[in-house]
Amino acid sequence: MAEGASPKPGQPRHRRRRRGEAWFDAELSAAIAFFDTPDDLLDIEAQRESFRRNYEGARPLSMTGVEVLDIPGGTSEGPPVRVRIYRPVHAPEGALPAMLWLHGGAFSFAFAEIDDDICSRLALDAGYVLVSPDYRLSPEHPFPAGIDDAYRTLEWMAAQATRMGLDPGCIVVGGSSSGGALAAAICLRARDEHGPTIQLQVLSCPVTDDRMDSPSMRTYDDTPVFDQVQAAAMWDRYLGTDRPPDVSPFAAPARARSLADLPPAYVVTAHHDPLRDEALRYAMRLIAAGNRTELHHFPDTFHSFDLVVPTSGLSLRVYSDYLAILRRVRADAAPSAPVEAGRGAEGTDVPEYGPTTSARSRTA
Amino acid sequence: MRGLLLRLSALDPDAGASLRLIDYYDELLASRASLDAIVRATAAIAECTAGVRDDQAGHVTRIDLHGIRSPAVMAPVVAEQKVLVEGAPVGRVWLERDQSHAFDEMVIERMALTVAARWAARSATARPGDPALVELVISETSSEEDRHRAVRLLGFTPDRHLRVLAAWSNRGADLAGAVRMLSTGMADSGGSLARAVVMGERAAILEQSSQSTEEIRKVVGGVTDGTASIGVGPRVPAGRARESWVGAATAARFVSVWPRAEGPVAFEELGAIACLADVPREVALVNSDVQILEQHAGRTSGRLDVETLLAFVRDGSLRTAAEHQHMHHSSIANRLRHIEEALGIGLDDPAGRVRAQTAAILWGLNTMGPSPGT
Repeated sequence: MAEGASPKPGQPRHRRRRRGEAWFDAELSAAIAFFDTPDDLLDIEAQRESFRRNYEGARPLSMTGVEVLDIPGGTSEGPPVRVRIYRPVHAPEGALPAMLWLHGGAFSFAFAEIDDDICSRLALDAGYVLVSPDYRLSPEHPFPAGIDDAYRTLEWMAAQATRMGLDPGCIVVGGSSSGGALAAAICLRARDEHGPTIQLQVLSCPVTDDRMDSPSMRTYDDTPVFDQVQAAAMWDRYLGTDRPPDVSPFAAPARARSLADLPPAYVVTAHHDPLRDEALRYAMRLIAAGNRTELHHFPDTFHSFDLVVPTSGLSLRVYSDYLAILRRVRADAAPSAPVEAGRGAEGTDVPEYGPTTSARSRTA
Repeated sequence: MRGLLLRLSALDPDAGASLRLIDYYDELLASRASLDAIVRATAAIAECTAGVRDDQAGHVTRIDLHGIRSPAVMAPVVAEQKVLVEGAPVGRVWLERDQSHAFDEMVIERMALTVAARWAARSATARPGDPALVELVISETSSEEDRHRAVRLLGFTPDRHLRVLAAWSNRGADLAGAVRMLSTGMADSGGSLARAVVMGERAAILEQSSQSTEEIRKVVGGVTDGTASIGVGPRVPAGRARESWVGAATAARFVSVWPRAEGPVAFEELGAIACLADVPREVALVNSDVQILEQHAGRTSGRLDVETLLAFVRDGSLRTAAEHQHMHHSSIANRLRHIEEALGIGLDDPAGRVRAQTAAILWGLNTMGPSPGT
């Protein structure tokens, strides 16, 4: 019987999903009290509605210092789908580095806006232009719709770089959860199809393997945010229940036979996460194949903890790391350009522009 | 990720939202959140800067809603409260925002309670009511209700696991002092909450933290100075604390016998060997092998022979036993030969070795160290 698993009488039916003696970091454990999870996790409409509702109810995003705009898809010179662009207002002269960011949601849920927070913060703090496509979702649009949208967005960024004020020599990709699978797949495809050069791939608790054959996938059947049951449903929706034996590596990056000649990588993994072991394996294979890879595993965490509870101590460390690595990539690409300091986590950096409160959003 | 968390300020101030907030702070407490974590978590849920002042340390911590420390801008204080530990004010907590929100009072109240509990837990000194409550928790005859209540009153989280340590006083040494050192040591190194009772020559320490048996064993081993023999019980649900106590008490008896040369013994490491402690004393002492060892130990230098056999049981090789006994390995071999002659057993023979080892453990359990019985 899972420790403390049964809700006390009179408590709301919000899920407290803890498995056995799993200890979560204090701030993450507390945050579970405010999860809004539909009772039936496999009810797609309920999940989608929940995301929409919570997005609408979230704190208004009004960051002075970052300009957010949407570019519609479907036009001849435009991106394949709507993309949301986050651009730092007080950027130095010249082309800016760019990050293609893919949001998560098991290939079926959410929308670009869901990661407004991290995209805005990275734009402001790292001095990048963030581009987040609202890629098509399964089951209505199964593979390869999502990866096609994402990859074509990359191609569009590279082709339109000058017009958009982007530096084509400094494009990075990143994504969370299923977005991580898309990011990894984009890198594989760019390698195989001689596409745009990518300087870095940031994979945050990424999905990678439809075979779901790992100890963590087998163990974590009832963990917060994501579990094995949802993983199985995710792959069924994305690839169909009747899968061919040879699933494309653009769908499941772990299927790639070779991980050589890929961009440097930064991988974050969570502990009580069914995706943990496949992500660790992917990172090890990246390393073995000779790619410059950083890997940070966090104990006492659930899937996508850094995005779900961005204020926790552990999440601040992850953010600090993202900042550091993005700045380093930027400096490597343009060594003579000044790298402005931004707001760092836990007071590690001194704010130069966009100081902590006056230029940032106040509560509404 | 703007999609998973509900926002407190957007919820109706009905029972559901209040319960979530209580749950939020209960979790922080149960997970032994650091002070920084409590302040960050408050700032996050209240969506504004939260602050705490520790009067004892003369220290102020302010963190904003993004987790940034000491934000330059100070907004007006919309809610504040003193932090009381055992009735005495030891600090204060507050929220800074341009306007107040419906939940501010409740948030600050919860924050004050959580900070107070955090500061109370860092004190390892015994409070007057503790010993009786600890005894209640481990007693055979307590009702489930009384046990549960005692666990709560002691400051533990009833629906989490805890473990019990047993401390036997060696040769009448100051047990209370050793217990105090142990409790403080466990609190300092691993954030344990430790509450103890001294019952004559033996003491029980209840401990709750996320440390593994091995980690606890190491901490305890580092802190004790040989004045007490310590047994470490298994981690159990709080309601089954007695099981852990019984295991710890058994393990303590093995301190000079098995399986490690120094330091505390963990019940989990004993496995089947623990059963030897259940052999009644009278039965053990009438066994001919054990009698022979007892008689041999009574002779000049005979005791050293038997202790050498015990060392050999523990260490498995002449060389290792020699190192630990600070003897030459030929001296060890000599002494073991005496034992072989006395018992009429060859230690090279596997059957003989098991027999001699068992006899040694039974002799050690029943003639050295603490006697059984809880």
